Amino acid sequence: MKPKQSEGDSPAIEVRGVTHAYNGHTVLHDLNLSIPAGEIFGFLGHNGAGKTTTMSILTTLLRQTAGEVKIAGFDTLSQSIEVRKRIGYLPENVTFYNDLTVYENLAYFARLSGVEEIDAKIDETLAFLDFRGVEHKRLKTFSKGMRQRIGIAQAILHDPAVLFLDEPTSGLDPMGIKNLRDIILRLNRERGMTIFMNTHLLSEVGKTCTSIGVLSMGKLIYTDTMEHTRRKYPDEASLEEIYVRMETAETS
Amino acid sequence: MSSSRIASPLRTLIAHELRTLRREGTFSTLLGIFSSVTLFSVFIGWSTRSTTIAIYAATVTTLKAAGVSHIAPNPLLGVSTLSIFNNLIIYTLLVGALLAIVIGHRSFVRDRKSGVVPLLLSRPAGRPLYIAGKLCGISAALLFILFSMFVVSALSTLLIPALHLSGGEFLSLAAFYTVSFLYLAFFAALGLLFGVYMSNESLALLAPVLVWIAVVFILPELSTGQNPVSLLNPVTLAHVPSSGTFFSSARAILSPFSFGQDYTALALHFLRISPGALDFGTILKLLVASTVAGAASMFALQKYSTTADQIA
Repeated sequence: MKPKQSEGDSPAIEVRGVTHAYNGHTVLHDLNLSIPAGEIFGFLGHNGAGKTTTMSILTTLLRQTAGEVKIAGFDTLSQSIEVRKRIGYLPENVTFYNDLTVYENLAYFARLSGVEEIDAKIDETLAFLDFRGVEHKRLKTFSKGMRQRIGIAQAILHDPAVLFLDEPTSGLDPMGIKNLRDIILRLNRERGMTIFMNTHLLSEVGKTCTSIGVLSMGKLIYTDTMEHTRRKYPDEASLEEIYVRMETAETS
Repeated sequence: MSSSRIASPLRTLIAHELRTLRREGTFSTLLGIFSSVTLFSVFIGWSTRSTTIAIYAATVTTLKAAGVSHIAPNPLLGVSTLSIFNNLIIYTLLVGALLAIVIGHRSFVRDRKSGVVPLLLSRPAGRPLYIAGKLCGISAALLFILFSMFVVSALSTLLIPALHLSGGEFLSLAAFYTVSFLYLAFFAALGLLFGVYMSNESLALLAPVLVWIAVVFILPELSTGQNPVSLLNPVTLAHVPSSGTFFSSARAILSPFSFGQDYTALALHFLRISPGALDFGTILKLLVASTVAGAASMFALQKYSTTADQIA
């Protein structure tokens, strides 16, 4: 499937000169990034590098101190509603209303996203995730992996152009990680979604992503396609070694 | 599965708020508490009134037997039957306000503890609509509870022949519950405001309770010189407040914020306990206070950082 196009064929995600500070501490320094539609972008960085802050800015949850962000061609500050219509978001450690059923949770988020045929959309989404039959179960009985699938379901119900996943594999067992990887690849190939994924699981980035960016202490120190990255570092056996080399070069 | 057509985000948020209150059992608990206090109030009021009338009748018989010809008329003849509800003023002033604070507080803290705030705020509905939905949902719940209290009050007076209410008195009773709604809506909005503004759950609950103590006890005490117990007594409240430079200056500055006193004055008027003209300015003040507290919740949510919560 062709990637979902942005307004005026602009990149799916465009970040220009974004800086963010709070409590007098700068957590993002002059971030510049351009991600074309149809990419699966892996955003790498150690804990506290600023990945979640970046994702919060991209998903309109946080206003940057300076700079400009456009998602699918729309500005996150002046056109935030248009941006929100076009994005799906799965936070790290996603949780829901535990006392509500899967259907009630999904229907609530679908209505707030302006989805029209809610029953049909929930059915279609759960079928896509191979997760039918759980509609009337309450979420408090679900495992981490099952919650993660419902998390993906709420993020894609309204068929967004860009999907943001914050550490999606965090806390999953190997089977759960494999299932999630398959879902991410299918969302990209079959539904044409651009995917922006925060992660520090390098093995997954190598198997899933088409391009990467590396954030270190709030600075973007590297960004390129996976193909170019492998060509640039032919002597390194794994992505982990490439990442360590970049981080070491930055900190020294 | 129940629905398939598109619903407005505001309606969705209101319906969700009401459903959550129902599922948690909050709604039925509040309905039970308020219906019970209404019945207690009617019973206490009716029993007090009946006892007074019986004592008066017995006294008249005794006086007549003693040959007294000039007997003062029954003092209750000039008092409206609505006065039997006077205990409801204290219940609403104290218990009602605290319960309204808890409803408002829980409304946002529940979402924050569930971890769904980032999911909700990344939807097209937006932050102001999210708060508006919560405020409307809470208001709808309060209105339903107060309407139920009105029905219980009305039915009680219909079932007890001695407590006959005229059409005008029924309207006055409805007006009493309307001002009670304005008073409770202010505290519910205050609970929501601090729930959004403060990340510490205990402090977020304690702060509106402190405001409640201030507007119900401290400010009226400073501006009238009356002690806290007499502030709760509708009879002493009707008295002229203390005079003197300090109290007149304090009254000028603090009385606009003495919402407890404002509510009591309006309630006394509508229950026809206190004579005098209705002060529309006081009603407007309660309305403005509720609106400002609601608007402040919206402002607090604009400043709310989901990132800080997620990182924490």
